[in-house]
Amino acid sequence: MAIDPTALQDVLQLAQTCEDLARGALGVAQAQLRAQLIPQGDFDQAFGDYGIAMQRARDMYYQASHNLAQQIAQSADIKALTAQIQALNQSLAHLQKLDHVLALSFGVVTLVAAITTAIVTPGTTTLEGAYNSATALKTTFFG
Amino acid sequence: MPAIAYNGIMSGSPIRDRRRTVLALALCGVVAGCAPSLGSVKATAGLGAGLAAYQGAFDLAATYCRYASLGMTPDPQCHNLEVDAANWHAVNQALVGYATALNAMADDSKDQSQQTTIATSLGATAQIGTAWSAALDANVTAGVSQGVSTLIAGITGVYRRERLARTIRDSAEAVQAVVNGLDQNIQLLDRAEQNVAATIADTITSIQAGTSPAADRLGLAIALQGVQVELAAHRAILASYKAAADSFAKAHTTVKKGLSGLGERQADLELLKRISSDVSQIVKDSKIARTPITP
Repeated sequence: MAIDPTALQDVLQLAQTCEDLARGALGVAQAQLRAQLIPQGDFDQAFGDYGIAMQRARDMYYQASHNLAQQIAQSADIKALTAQIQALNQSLAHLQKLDHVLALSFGVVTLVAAITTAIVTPGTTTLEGAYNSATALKTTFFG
Repeated sequence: MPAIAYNGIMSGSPIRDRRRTVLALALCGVVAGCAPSLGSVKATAGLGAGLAAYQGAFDLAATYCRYASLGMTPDPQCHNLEVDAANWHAVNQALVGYATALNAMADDSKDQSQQTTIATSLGATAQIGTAWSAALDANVTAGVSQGVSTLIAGITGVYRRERLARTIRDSAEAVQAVVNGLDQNIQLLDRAEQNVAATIADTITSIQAGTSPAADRLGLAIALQGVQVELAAHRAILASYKAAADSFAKAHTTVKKGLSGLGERQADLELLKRISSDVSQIVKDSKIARTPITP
């Protein structure tokens, strides 16, 4: 979301011309005041006109800035970025779950191997081993 | 019962060490890029996160607007600028939030943390029966746990890179458009502040040219020059904001162009070099571009 570059250049150029004219006229008035060709009252009038012209130029910038602020906050680009942030955060949560599941799967495989060994070679030691393996897995993943 | 190796740290014979390494490498080879290097994405995200420092950069525009309209009719535009500040906060926040999310997805530093867990599981299993214990001696346990851990990190690393690639590709246009909007506003407000500064400079020369007492002329000039300093400082902030936003957008585009190399160390290094050179160029240009006030 941005102002059309040509329109922006038009605003900048127009305001600049306005400023240049105002400052040029003030410069002439200042020179005349210094040379005492005009009284202070006339200079004050010229200074007032200068102030108004400069404010007009400033308002062109401010108006363009205001329009931009109104449009950008509602723009599709901001909405797209917000959607991407949400999607990334969801993916991150999913990734953490995936990481956990992968590690858990490996733990289960080792537990199954332990139980298989206990069945193939029955005895107190092997059964105790399978129990220990299951307990270790439970403690590791579920606390 | 064999000793259990945790974190793969255990001395053994060179043959066992090689066996462990080969096992780890074999598992590692299953997935591409087992040690994903996402430095260029993190560097880009870091540039975006740096925009948080400029959250209130436009807030003072309304104040400076009033500086020049105090003596005349209050400018209604100053109120608009005040209201707009909230919108600009939201815009900046969107860029910072996006960069933060990118950084979190690119942060793979915790992906290698499963090794101890796996070694523990293997250790518990190794307590069973002689045959199983013999197969899982300390070095093999260490090798397997390291290998499986690398495998898991590899899978999650691939997921991270693919997800990032899609996000960066899909967001590229929006990031550029939002940064363009910020740039334009900076340009407009900077020009407005230049206008205020010029008005103040002209007011000072007008006071000097006038017939008011010398003390008044000096006092007013000193007071107004104080405002000039304040304006110059704010214009410098706007210039750095522009440089920071442009650097982020440029780095984002660079990473987008190099997406195929994401996770490959050499390509990542090249991207990092390009990002750093772009940033220094943008900062240099922004200093040159600052227009001084014509006296």
